[in-house]
Amino acid sequence: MNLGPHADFIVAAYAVTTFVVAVLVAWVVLDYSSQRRILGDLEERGVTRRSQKGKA
Amino acid sequence: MTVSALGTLVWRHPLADVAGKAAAPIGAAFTFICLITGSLWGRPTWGTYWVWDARLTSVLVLFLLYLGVLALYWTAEDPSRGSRAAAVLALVGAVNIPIIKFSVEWWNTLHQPASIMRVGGSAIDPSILTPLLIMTAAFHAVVLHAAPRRHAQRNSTAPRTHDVAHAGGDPRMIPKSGHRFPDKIMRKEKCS
Repeated sequence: MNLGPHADFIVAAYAVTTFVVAVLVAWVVLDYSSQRRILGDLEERGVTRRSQKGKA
Repeated sequence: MTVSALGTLVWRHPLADVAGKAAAPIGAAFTFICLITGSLWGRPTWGTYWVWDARLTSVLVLFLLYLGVLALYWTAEDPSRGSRAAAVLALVGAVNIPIIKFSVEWWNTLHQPASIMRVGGSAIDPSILTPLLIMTAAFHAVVLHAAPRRHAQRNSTAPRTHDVAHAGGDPRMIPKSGHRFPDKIMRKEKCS
């Protein structure tokens, strides 16, 4: 694929974008697992939602 | 973020708060991409990576505002106060949006005039316009993915914090994980 005389700039722009989006995706995945761990921790300690109090 | 800030400050709706929290890092990341890739493309087209013209500077200000909002969200001891402060900053920062949009018309800038939303249709080649629209859709998809997760976390933890505090602050109920609930619980205990 011929990107023309500005290939370096195009490749650099795609590389930066790929890196930043990859970091963003990694952050979302890590944050999701972190939130699940916190919620699991609370569940283990028997802390329930107010909405589930009546059911317990 | 402006709408979510209004929702946080005026209606105090929890979904507005989580929407703002979800959008802020994503907005910062995409604004950073915009600045870097624009700067890279500026070198072959304008002959320089950066110039302090109105469009580039106003977008840089937008990025700094995003960082400010993130700092308020992440560093505030009391999450609810941090959210309100971030919402105020987001509202103030919203003034920057029309400045960014019309900067190329109000001032003589190196940046080209409006090329997407203009009379006579878009002046951008489809090979560039299509990826731009895809990335716009991707931004909203990531926000929509992140917001419900944040809402679930808030919906679960806020009442639970309340419950633990009102259950006598039993230490066994305090989670080990590194978040701010214990501080909040201790404050509530001191108040009661």
